[in-house]
Amino acid sequence: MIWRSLSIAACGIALLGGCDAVRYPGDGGEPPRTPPTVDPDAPPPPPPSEPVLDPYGTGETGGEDDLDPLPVSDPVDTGDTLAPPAVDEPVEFTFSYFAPGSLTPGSGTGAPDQIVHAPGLVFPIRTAPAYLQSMVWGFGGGVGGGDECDPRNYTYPWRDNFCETRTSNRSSPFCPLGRIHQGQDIRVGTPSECEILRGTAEDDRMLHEVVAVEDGVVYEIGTYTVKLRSGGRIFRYMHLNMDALQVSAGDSVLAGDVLGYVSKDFGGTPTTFHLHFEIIQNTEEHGWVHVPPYLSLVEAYERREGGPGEFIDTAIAAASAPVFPPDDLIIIE
Amino acid sequence: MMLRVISMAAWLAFVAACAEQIGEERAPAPAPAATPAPSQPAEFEPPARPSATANEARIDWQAARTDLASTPGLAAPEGFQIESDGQAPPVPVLLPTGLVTPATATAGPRFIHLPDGYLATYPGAVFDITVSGTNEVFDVTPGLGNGVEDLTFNSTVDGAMVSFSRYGAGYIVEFVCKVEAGAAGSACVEEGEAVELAQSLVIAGTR
Repeated sequence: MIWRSLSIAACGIALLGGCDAVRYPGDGGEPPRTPPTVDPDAPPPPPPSEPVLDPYGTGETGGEDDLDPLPVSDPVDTGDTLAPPAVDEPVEFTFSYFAPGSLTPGSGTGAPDQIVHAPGLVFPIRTAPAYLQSMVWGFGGGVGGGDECDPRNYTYPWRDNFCETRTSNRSSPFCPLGRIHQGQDIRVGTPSECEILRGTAEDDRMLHEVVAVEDGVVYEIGTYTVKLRSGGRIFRYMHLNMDALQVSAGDSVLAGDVLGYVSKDFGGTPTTFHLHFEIIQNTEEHGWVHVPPYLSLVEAYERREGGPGEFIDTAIAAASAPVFPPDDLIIIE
Repeated sequence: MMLRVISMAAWLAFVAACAEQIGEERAPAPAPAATPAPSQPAEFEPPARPSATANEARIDWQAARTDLASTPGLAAPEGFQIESDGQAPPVPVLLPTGLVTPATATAGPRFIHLPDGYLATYPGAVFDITVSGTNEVFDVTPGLGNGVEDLTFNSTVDGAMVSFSRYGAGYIVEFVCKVEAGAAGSACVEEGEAVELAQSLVIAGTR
């Protein structure tokens, strides 16, 4: 009897597999369907056939009472329950990043020995893919030339560009040299979205949402800057579409609230579509200073993407020839 | 006989399962949401990395009270609500004096009381000024540093800032240019002017 029940269940399960799919809670939804190809001239499927009694002419009719029960062995007591052997599951990286302080070759000297200065941030771009890298040394930048929508700009690994060389005398005690870039540049979206933005009127560029990284107060909106104060930290966002901001000076916001949209507003100075992001922090050692945002953003992106980033050891990464800017090039931002 | 029972049961199960799917397929599709919600990946906790730790600075309230008592009354701008005693911000309030809001400004000075300190913003013709104080301080390298009493000037992309510590609290004065930076990124405010203004801040409130 038990054998018969098992057989029925197994047969039913096997036949269920003939359906397009078997759904179960949490299976991620309807799978893509492929229409079955049916020959219009093919005969219809046969109805269930009558079972043939004694198909081999042995005189045995296969009656249910003829089934011998399978011998059942006593369970063996093995003592402690053995856990299955541990298997190292492959890690699925959501992106990759070069070491903090490893700037684009020729672009400056990065901050060594970085820590996460602002742990627990919400990533400043709400959903779109983001690429931390140099704008000036990337395609379409002042040094590299080319086009900012070049697909090669929209690739991992990420690059730190805090401490990147600049013309004017801006500094941070975390950078080995002066005249530096005080934030991190973040390219957003895809090459095709870059093209779309380029073809959109400036006031209507509202493709990629920029959000508050922590709870705080928006206290200053400049020509191309939005500042958020959160305890002993100040977050500075630049180059948003200033005509489409979603906040006003004095607004209290929660982490994740939309502040505005990625654009290239820079008070008339040309730049690329990106978010420039700075963290100014009140530190024991130096007072209020610009701190490297790179690892804080790595951590925030890992949290947003739901998986770890792959650390690319610069020592074994493919070398690229450094590109040095012309002597007369003025690098504003 | 047994095979027939098995075949019929399996066939019925097959038909029932597929009929259920067909029924689902024929159900009207739900209307698409107006704004698709962002995907919510499973919560992931990043690997532990060395991080800055936040501490609450110890404020020398006695020194602040002494200074306030010896300071001529500050005519705070209209709209400023600087409470006293326990309602005051958790750091002594330092503010500039003598600033005049330009007639062209779209908003007047603003004072914001924060859980860790305060903010005071002053619109200007050439640059806006923000004075901030906080009692939250981050220990990047434990054991190093004990606040920076000296004023430190630094240029920024959009202007300049001056930072210092007083009474144990951390203060920053930011200057945001209203005019475009020069070709070489020259700021709208010179270091001397910025430092002088920071040095002239007076205490306007304490606990």
